[in-house]
Amino acid sequence: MPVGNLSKVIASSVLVVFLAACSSTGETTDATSSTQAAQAAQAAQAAQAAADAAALAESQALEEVQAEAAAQAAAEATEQAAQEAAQQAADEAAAVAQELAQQQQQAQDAAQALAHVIYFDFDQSTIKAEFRTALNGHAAYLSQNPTAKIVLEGHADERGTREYNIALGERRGNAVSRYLVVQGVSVDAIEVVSFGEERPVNAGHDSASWAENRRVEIRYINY
Amino acid sequence: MIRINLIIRLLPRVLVTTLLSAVLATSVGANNLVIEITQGVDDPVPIAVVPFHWSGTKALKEDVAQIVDADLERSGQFKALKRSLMLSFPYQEADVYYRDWHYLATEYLVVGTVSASENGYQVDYQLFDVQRQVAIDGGRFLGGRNDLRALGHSVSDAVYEALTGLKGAFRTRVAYVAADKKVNPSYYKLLVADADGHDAKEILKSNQPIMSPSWSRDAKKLAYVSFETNRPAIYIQDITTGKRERIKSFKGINGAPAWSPDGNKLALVLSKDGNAEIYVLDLNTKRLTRVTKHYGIDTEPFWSVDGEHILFTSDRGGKPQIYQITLDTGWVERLTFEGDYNARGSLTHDGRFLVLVSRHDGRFHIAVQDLQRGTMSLLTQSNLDESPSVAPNGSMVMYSTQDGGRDILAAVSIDGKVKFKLPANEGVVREPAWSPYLN
Repeated sequence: MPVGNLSKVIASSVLVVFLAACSSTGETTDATSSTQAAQAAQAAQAAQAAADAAALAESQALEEVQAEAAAQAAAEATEQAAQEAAQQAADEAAAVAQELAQQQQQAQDAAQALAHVIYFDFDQSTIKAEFRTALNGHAAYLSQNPTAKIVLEGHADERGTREYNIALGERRGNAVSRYLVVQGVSVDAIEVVSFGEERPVNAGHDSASWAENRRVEIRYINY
Repeated sequence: MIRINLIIRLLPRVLVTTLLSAVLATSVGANNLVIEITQGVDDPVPIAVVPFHWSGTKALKEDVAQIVDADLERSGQFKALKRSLMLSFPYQEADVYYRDWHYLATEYLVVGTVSASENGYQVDYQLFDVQRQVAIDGGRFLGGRNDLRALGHSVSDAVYEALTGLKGAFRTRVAYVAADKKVNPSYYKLLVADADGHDAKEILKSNQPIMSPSWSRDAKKLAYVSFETNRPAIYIQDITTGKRERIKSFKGINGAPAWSPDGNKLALVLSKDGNAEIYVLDLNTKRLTRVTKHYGIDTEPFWSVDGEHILFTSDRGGKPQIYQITLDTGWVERLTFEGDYNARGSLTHDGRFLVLVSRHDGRFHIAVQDLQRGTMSLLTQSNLDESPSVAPNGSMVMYSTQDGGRDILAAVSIDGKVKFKLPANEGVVREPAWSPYLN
């Protein structure tokens, strides 16, 4: 500590002055003792004053040191408090964010849990009542998540001509698109692509297979 | 890729012979022997195609006479004599003993030779009328080393034309789509083969759907739809060089390309303006013109022979039917009225017959409507028949159908009497597109 060193330096200089005063007193004893005594007394006084001053200085320095230490401690305490507060705030924010993320994930999970395939009757593009719940769920998710985007892939069964079935698949995709838009989904969040009868999920040639193939698949390209 | 480097049809040896044979052919026709397509398989004309003489030492890769034999039989209008029944194997007129062939009840006889030429082969043939004991046609075809099959088909075309008056369509090709039989994983291929199914060559392979191949008028390019980017786009590909061009695509449908008769335009279907509509793209100027305007589906364009009309499928009346629009005026006329599902119309080269897919009792058949008489008749009785494509001479229609649970190619004559199948080695095949004549 520089303050401690300073007080030692002052103390040692007082001692030097006092010794010097004593030696000069001894040298002058043989000459005039009264003058010498008076000089010695002055020197001693001066030495005492210096010592007092040094002691004062030392105590002041000490006080300064202590004040500084206190200030520093206070500063450190403040800093810590601030850090703790910040940490707490951060923790709280993180918790909120996590909660939001969880909510988002839950919403996404919920959207994912919804039916992604809407089935249709032969040569029809009417949305059957049984698929409204799922579509409403997708609509809610899409309108609450403006960055989410979907592709509606329209499909037809193998009956009928291929290019006509492409148009039919698109009509089905458009029907689903319109339904979602009416529920508040932005048209920009939806793209319709028809695959006609080109990508069946069931290669069979019977009613059950055809029913599986007449569909619109909702594919999220961004959640 | 088969390409005839040079074809020379020799004139029959003597002009007098030609005139005489023409007269004879006509008179024979008047007597009931002339081949009429409509007689078909009920009474196929017996013909003998004698093995062609090969002057080389190494065996040929192809049996040219066998190719001619198979072509003529596939037309359904001829019955070829088995070789094992032949009493002799003449390859030039001097060796033909008409009595032998008459005895075998053969009405026409084809003989020929194959010889090496500078860059490949030369095939010479002669056609004889056994009853009249005269040569009625003959010629020579030249081709490269890999053109033996094409040379055989050229002989078939010549013989067919000489006997029926109708240009042969044996030396043509068919483009078609093949796919894995499994649903997933799957592959899609675009292939081009000779019209008899031989020499199939892969044009494109993708793990996404390929559809609607359409030939350019010169039979050198194919337009088709590919979903390789997960969205449909129309491509034009040179089948010789493999070079291809993607036509500017739009949001929604990009489909059903169809080349105009003059080869300069492409009719196609886009839904960029809301729903499926027919457009015409000028391939030179790239200008796009909208042709149809209706909230119903308009698709499957097919150009009339004169290029002034486009046939298309529309459900504007509630169910899919075939309509025709006049390009100049925009006048739309409905062409089909029988049944509640008529689609994918195409015309024979003479514009007389409309070939289509028609649903009857829930089953899909290939049908033909005589546009002069207005009558429709079914050409097939199988189910799920689709993608009819007419041969350039209008004699046969190739289509895809189900056979034992898988898609195969099949063909039927325009009168419904002749049928044949073109099976695939593996997987399913569909969407045949019969090429124009190869030049």
